[in-house]
Amino acid sequence: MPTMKNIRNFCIIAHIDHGKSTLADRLLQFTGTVNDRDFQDQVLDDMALERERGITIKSHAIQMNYRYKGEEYVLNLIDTPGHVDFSYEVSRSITACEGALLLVDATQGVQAQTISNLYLAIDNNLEIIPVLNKMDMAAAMPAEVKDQIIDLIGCDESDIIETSGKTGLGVEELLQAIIEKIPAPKGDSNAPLQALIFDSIFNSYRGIISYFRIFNGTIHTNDFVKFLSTGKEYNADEIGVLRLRQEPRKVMSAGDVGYIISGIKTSKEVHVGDTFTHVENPCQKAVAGFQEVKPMLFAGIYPTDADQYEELRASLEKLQLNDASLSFVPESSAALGFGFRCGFLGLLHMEIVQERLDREFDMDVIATVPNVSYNLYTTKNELIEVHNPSGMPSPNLIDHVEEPFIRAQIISKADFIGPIIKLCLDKRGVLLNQVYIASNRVEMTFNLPLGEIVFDFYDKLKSISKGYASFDYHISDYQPAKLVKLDILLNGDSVDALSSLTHVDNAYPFGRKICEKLKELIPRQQFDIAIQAAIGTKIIARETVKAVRKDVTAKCYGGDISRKRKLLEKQKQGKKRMRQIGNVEVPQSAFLAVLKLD
Amino acid sequence: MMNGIYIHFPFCKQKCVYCNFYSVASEQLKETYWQAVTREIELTANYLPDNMISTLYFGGGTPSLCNREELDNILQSIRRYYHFAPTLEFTLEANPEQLSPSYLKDIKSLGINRLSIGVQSFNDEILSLLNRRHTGKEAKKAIENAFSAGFENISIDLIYDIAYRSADMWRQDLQTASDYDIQHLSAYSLTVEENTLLARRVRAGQRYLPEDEMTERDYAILIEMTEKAGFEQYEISNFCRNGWISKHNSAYWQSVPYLGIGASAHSFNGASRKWNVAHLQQYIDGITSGQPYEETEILSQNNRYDEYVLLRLRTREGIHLNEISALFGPEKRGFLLSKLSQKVNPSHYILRDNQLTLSYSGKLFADSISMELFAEE
Repeated sequence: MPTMKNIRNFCIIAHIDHGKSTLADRLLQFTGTVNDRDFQDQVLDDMALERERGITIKSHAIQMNYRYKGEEYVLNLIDTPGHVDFSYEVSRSITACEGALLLVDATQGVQAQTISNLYLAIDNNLEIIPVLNKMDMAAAMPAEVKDQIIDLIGCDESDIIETSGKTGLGVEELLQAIIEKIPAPKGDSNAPLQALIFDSIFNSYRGIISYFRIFNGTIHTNDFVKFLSTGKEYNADEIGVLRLRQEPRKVMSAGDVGYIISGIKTSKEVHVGDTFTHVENPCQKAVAGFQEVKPMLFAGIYPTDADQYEELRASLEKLQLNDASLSFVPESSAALGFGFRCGFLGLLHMEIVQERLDREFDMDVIATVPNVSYNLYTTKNELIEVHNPSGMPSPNLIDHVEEPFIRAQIISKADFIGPIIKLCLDKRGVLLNQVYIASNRVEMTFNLPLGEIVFDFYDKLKSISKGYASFDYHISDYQPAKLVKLDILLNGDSVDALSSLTHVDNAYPFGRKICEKLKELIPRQQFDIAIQAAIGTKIIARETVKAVRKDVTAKCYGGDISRKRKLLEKQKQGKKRMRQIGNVEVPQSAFLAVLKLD
Repeated sequence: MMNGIYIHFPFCKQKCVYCNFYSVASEQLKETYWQAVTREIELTANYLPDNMISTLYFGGGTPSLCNREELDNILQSIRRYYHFAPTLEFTLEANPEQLSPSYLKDIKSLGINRLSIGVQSFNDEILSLLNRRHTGKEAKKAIENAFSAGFENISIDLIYDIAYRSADMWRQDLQTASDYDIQHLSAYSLTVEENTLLARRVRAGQRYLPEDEMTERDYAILIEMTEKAGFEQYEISNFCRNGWISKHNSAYWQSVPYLGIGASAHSFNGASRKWNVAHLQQYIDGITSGQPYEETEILSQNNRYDEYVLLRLRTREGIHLNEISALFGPEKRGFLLSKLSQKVNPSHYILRDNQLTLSYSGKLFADSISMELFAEE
């Protein structure tokens, strides 16, 4: 077992696409942690979806050995998720480390996400090692990006390590810097056990496998442990370290990173950020920073095929086993039948859940217009959390409503300041701060209602900044909001699945856009279809889908027969997937349309 | 048992904007093509269940570009393997500009007894919009020549549903056509098919297709005027006088076996459909080298039911419920009736004496109605 002074625990802070996974793969190869036979590009991203999107959804960890100046070192790389929806998980991973590699793409420079995670790392007193990656690329701008890094962390130019995940440049130098610069863990192996859970995964044979970092004390296999936030007690059936595969150990102590299997069946019992200790002789306090993760975004998820309601429930339950941040309760909709109101961390999380339902469970689902969680105060001064337009009590019972606000950081080329500020102001944002972090790079801080970034904010930001702007946010507080419930009617019937809660100032343009979009998406039928947007009984927008006047093939001879039959058979398949609302057939795409309004 | 043979002539002087039948505007490969067709006739001699032929159809392309000798050669090859019924309906598709008295005399002597003339319109503006090579005057001349040459069974094609054409222009075309003693009229609404000149022009913003209201108006004019002129609508786009239906085309709608010869030609033997590659050189190479030049689709019971519904609903006979039971089982009859009552607008169909036909307004929605009645897994 290595002594504490030969352990280095570190994470990598990087923006999506800056080459974190590729560089991590190089470290694993160079230290011989993976041999070439096992090598599968991007070992850390082991969910197919992660691999495809090139992002890390859940954090992982891996241990490497490295011999340096005649001594054997243990390096624990704790991977962090790369998206704003998962910033709490990032903060827990950072807490588990003594050092962080600040990885910046030499072709792109510093991005918003990098900065906010960097601040987190600095707040946690992590040693920062700046790394300039993708140095093999022709488009690399080392001088410029180095200046940005120096401005950001105040290091010397000589501290910045130039690497290329692709060619392996600088990997050895990087490993040496990790050992030389990052402090060894501090802690007392003889003190009461205090270990931080920074992630957990679900394994269908073994149940929940929690990843931990020990701050103090020592744990043996079969010790009796207690999770502080839930108060639940378990037997440590197996503990061990995370190499390419899990390797069981008999004993682990302060400074170590590893996993514990304790017979936990569902992710609900394990909270990322929780602390566990011994039942006998427990530690006095938990590792600071624990929060109950609350979903911020809610949407209805319905099976495309109404018969699959029970299957959908089973699939969501299974998803929840390894995704504790997903919540769901049954709900029903006149338009869509029976389904669930699901809570997500953010839009990406919602997309990921939908894609996982599709890929891992072969479940075809319809998602309704998402909305954020509102705090509603009744005239009797009760607080109700509203997750659903239909959950709004009648107006005379409402005293006031508050909506969640975020503090958003946007970093962009200075050229795009104007359009970005306009976008944020249009979204009811307030500019709090604006700083030049390099001659042509600006960091802007806004206060924005979360509900405004739910729809198309990120796409718009990317497009007005030609892809340069980066964006990160944290929930800041709740502020009073003038909300209305916007209903959509098809031939006079209100479609609950298309209702939304929206700020009164947005209701008119939003209603108009939904109507226009639905007009594009609802196919013409044998009668006119009126599409209306309404607040209460007041119609604020209207479009009409004109009736089809004719649907008949002119010529139907020898060669046309198979072709026509196949075409109609295909149409019939497509029609089967449509939803009947009153007498109107609505394609599934219509329910998603409101997410993609221009 | 009735059988039909179709021979495809994939050559044209120029392509019409709307046409999606396979043809090329070059006659370079003509000679080798005829050799391949002759060979295919030989290769497929056992395809049909019966070698007695009741209809023979030379279509295209522009088969009237062939001279007497070329047509005769093909005919000789066919005669080598098939008998012709005494009532044989032998059709040639022809463009008006080729129907000179001498040519008509030549083809009549071959036994061709029905002409399908691609008039499309008698209006010169419309004709040039459609990229046709003839004028209205030539179209009239061609019809008159055909009568003079002694043809009794003459069909003409007209196209409607063209933007900018006024109701009067459409009435005028129908009037001119009906004034002749023709026995048959095919009236097609202009359709934008993929990979046609028309599709490209429409995409480029040219206005060919009419407003919805005009479509209904043109259809109403068509039905009203053909009825007045003594035509019967026996299929959605086909009208006949005195019972002179197109026997060959009716065979398609009645699921009678037929053999198609030539590039892109389709065949049906009751259980499967096959079609030749729609490419001259590949077709010729395939025939000569023995490489595959055709694709086959075996029809499932549900495919055959779907086709029955699709095709029969287009005809005046419609769907016989007893026949549905006999061919596809009584549960299909029940299925069809329940779909009909749930999904189809009652004003769109007529159900009388176990016979289901489309009403006047239903004919405009034949495709969607068929789809509603199609089988489900």
